[in-house]
Amino acid sequence: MNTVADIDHELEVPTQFIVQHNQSLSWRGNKIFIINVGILSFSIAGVFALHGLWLILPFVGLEILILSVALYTCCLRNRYKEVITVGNEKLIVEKGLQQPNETWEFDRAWVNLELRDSKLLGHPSKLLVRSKGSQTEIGECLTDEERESLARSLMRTLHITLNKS
Amino acid sequence: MSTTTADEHHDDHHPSGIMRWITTTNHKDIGTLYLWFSFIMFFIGGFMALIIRTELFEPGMQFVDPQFFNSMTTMHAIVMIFGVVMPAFTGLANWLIPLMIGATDMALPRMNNWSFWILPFAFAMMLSTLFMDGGGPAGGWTLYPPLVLQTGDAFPFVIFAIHFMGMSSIMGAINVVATILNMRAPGMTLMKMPLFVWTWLITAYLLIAVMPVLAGGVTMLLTDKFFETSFFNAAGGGDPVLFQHIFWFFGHPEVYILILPSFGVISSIIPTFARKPLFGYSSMVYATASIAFLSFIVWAHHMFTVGMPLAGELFFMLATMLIAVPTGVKVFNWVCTMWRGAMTFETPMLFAIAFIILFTIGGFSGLMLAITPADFQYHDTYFVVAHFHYVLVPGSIFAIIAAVYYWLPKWTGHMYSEFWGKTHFWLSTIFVNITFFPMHFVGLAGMPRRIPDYALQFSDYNQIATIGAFGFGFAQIIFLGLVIATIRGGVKATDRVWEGAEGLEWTLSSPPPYHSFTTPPNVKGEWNWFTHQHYETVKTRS
Repeated sequence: MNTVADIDHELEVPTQFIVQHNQSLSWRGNKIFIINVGILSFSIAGVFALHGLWLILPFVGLEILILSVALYTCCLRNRYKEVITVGNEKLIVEKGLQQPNETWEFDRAWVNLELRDSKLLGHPSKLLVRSKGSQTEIGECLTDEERESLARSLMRTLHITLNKS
Repeated sequence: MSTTTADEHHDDHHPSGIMRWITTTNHKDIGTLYLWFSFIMFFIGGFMALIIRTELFEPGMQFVDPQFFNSMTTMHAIVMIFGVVMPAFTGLANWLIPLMIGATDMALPRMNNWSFWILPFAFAMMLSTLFMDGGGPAGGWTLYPPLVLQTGDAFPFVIFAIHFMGMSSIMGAINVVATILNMRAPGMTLMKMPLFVWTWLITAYLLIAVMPVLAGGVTMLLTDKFFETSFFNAAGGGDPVLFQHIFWFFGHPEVYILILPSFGVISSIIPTFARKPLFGYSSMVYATASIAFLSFIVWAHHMFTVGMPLAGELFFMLATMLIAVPTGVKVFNWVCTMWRGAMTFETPMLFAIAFIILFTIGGFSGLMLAITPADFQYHDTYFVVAHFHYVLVPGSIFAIIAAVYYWLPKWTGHMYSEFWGKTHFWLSTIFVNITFFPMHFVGLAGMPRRIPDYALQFSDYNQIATIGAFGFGFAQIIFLGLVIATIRGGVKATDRVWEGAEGLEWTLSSPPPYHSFTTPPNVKGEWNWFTHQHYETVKTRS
């Protein structure tokens, strides 16, 4: 679940759009779950190993590894955040996990928005902000519908039309 | 490049044709794939059951040889457990969990695609063993050595197929866990989750805990057969009874993996048609967790006759009987939910009520089997067959059917035919009892299971059971026709479908959009089933 509101009315400037996943359990909570499952599973495998049935251990290890990677991937992905600030002069895009790792500044007057459908089957569309030769993708963690909703809201705020390809 | 404005009408756009289904990462598509796969396997497994019942119509050998008969009992069990009930519940989880918790999709969509597409290959491999030299596996789904090691060319294929099924289950379980833990809508705390989500979270936990035990066990069978290890070979210092411990340490929680999601389904349906909130929500959650915990410490009740210390027999007997307490809490809560409710009896409710009554019969015969000295008499008889079929057919299968009737209008956007639904219900309920109830009697009279021939005294009840099995099988063709007819068209379903339905999934359109919630619903306050103040849902699409 991602957070982006489809705003029907024109927004005042400066306006901020914050695009982020919804995260209902912290990484710490996920770690507690992994440790809980790990203790149980390794205890079971350990008891069997003591009786000579050690081949259960590698399967438990592999499974807990996959579980950990899966939950870590979810949490890492969910920490991703994009902050799009529309000011009177500038449009600033900041991207990062805990803090802005990358920042782009565009002259608002020259900003162009493009929503590009993927040529590949089932792949997501891209929403690009560009101005004076530089560009960046925004709304990367959104679904196609959410991305278009963000594009509409930005379009109204910036008083521009959207290029769709 | 064309330039258009985004205000133009916009539909869900997604791949179409066969590639949509192969490459899909959408939870609804994958849920649909799981459900159809399960339905197809239901008819394959059911056909095997009819072969068994045809042979058992009369004493003596009529149609198949004993080896093939035992292959059928083995395959029927594997297909029904790993190919029907588990995929059906995974399909329901895929369809419903994101809708119920207010998420756009499952947490790991690509892994979701993989976990489904492994299954057809696993079952193609498993079913192909029937055509190999030496036939399919015939040692029972429990795969006990040394009997199972006598399997012909099929043996390694059976083991690899079981590994693939296990991989699919584990990936599905990890996906469910990741989704429920991380993707709940703001405000949806754990104790506000629908019971179906709770039961699946606990089921996934069980799956993750016990699947490696099965994987390790079958791998050791493989190494005993081909790499001269002696894990279960007494001649080499191993112990075949240890395999039984391994198998049932997996197998008993597996039984709860097959039934816990049913409890979630029934806990969704009963309040809807009783038009009352679920009685004792918290106690339902704790009862489910208690059943899951107890499932880890009762495995040896399957092995009372194998021989174990008296203290062990007592412990496993008492621990098994203890399971009746949380299960009783559940049955009590469902009955209390219905008590003085404004009940109506649409098809899902009929199946849910039949579930409660018939599953309880299966539970009672389970209590009889839990008593160690009594089990010495019942063990390996048709009484056991009657018991677990009462738990799994009017238990798990009825719950799956009830779930399909309940959510089919939401999935397809069309109402099913209530006439044909009720016809299906009455035929299924009558024939399921005709099939399995006589098995109690022949079992108590001493008829052994997994034997293609029997003493003349058991003929009457076996003939009744066979007639019931064919009746039940034909009744499912009605269900197939009804599902296809509902997908193709029918009266338009409303968004809420059922007057008393509560939950986030009913706030979406019928059928729901390709991506479920484009804006997170905000779940506030306590459950309020009548005023709908519970959810403050921002709906952006319809």
